[in-house]
Amino acid sequence: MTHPDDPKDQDWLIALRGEDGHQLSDEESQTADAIRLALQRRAEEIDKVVPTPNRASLDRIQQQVRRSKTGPIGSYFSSPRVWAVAASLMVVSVLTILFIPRLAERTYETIPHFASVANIMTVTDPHARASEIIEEVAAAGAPWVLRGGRVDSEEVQPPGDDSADVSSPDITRRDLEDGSVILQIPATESNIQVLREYSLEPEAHDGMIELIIVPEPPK
Amino acid sequence: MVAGSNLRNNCAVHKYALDMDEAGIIRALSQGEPRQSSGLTALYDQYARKMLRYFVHHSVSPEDAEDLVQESMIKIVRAAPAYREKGTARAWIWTIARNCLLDFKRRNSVSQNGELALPFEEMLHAAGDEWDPAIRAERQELVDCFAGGLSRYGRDVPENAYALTLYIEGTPIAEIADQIGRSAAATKEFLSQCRKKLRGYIRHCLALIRTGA
Repeated sequence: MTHPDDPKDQDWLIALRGEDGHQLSDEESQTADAIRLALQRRAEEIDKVVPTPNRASLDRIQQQVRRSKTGPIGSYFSSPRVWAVAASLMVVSVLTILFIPRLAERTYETIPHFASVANIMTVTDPHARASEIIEEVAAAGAPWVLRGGRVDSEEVQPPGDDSADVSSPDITRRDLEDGSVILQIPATESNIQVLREYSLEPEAHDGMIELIIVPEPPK
Repeated sequence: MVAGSNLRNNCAVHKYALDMDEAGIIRALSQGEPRQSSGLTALYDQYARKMLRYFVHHSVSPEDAEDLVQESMIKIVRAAPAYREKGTARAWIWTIARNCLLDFKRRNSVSQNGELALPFEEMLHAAGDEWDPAIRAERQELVDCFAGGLSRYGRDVPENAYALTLYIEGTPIAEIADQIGRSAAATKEFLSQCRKKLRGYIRHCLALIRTGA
C-alpha cells in the first residue's frame, strides 16, 4: 500500500512529465499535473528575461581571452617559437657560465691591446696647432707623407718637400667636425723631442704616437 | 570577392564548430590559434544559451548572467589544457559554470537574502491572466496556489526548482546530472528529494484538489 503523500518515486516522476503508465491516485495525479503546470509557467516567465546569445558577446569573450593572455598554458609550450626562444636562452646561459670565469682569470697583460694610447692636447685653435706641429716635425727632418684633411682623406704634401718618400712612415691628419684634430705621428726620437716641447710626454704604440688636439671649451 | 571568401571561411568555421562535441571543444581550446577560436565559438554556440538560462533560473539578473557566462568560458579556456578525461566533458564544463555561480553567490551575499531574486511570485500571479482560459476558469485558485508555492520554492531552493524544470521539459537524466553535478542515480534521488521538499510549499493547495477546486 502506498501512502498518499509518499507515492513511488518512479510513478511520481512519470506523472510529473504528464506521461501515462503511473499508478498514482487521481489526487496525486492532479497534484503532479498542477506542479508541472506551475513549473512550466514559472520557466516561461523566467525565460522571457534570459538574454539571447549574440555574436558581440562571443567577440568580447574572444578579445578578453586574447587581451588577458589566457591562452592555454599548453598551447604556449606546443608552439615551436617558444621552444626556439627557450633553446636560445639555454645556449646563451651555458656559454656565459663557461666563458665568464675564464675571462675573469685573464690578467690585463694577457689581453691584447687593440686600442692605441692617445695623447690629448687642449688648445684654442687645434687646426693651427696641428699645422704648427706638422711644420716642426718636418723641420726636425723626419721623412713623412702627410695624409689628411677631413675624414675623406684629402692628401696633402708638406710645404717645400716635393721629394717626400712615400715609403716613409705616414703622418695622418684628420680634422673632425667638432673642431678637433687627430694626428698620428711616427714615434721617432726627433718627433718625440718636438712633442716634448709642447709639454707632452708622448706614449707610443706600435711605433706611432696618436695626438688628439681638442679645442678649449668656450668660457 | 574577398568578403565572399571570408563569408565562406566563417561558414566553414561555424559548421566545424557546430560539429564539435564537448571533448573536441576542450581539445581545441587546449591548442593554439586558430583551433582555440573554433573551440571557443563551438563552446559559445552550444552552451551560452544553456548557461544564461541556468544562471537566470538561479536568481541571477540577466546582466550578471552574461558576465557569468563570460567568466565561465574564460575559465574553461584556461583550464582546458589541464582537463583529463574523468567523467564526461559536459560535466566538466558544467562544473566550472556551477562554481562560477557559487563564487558569484558568495560575492553577492545579498542575493542569498533574496533581494536580487526576481519577483517570480508576482510575475506568476500576474501571469495567471495569460493562462489557458479553460484551465483558468476551472482551476484558477488551484493554479494560483501552486504558482505561489513554486515561486517560494524556486526562491528558496532554485537548484531544486531548476532540476524539476529540466525534468518536465524532457531533458535526459544524464544531462540534468551533469548540470547539477551529480551522477544519474543520485539525480533521480535528488528529484525525489525535490518532490519531498516541495510538499511543504504546496501542502495547503492539496486541500483545493480534494474539494475539487
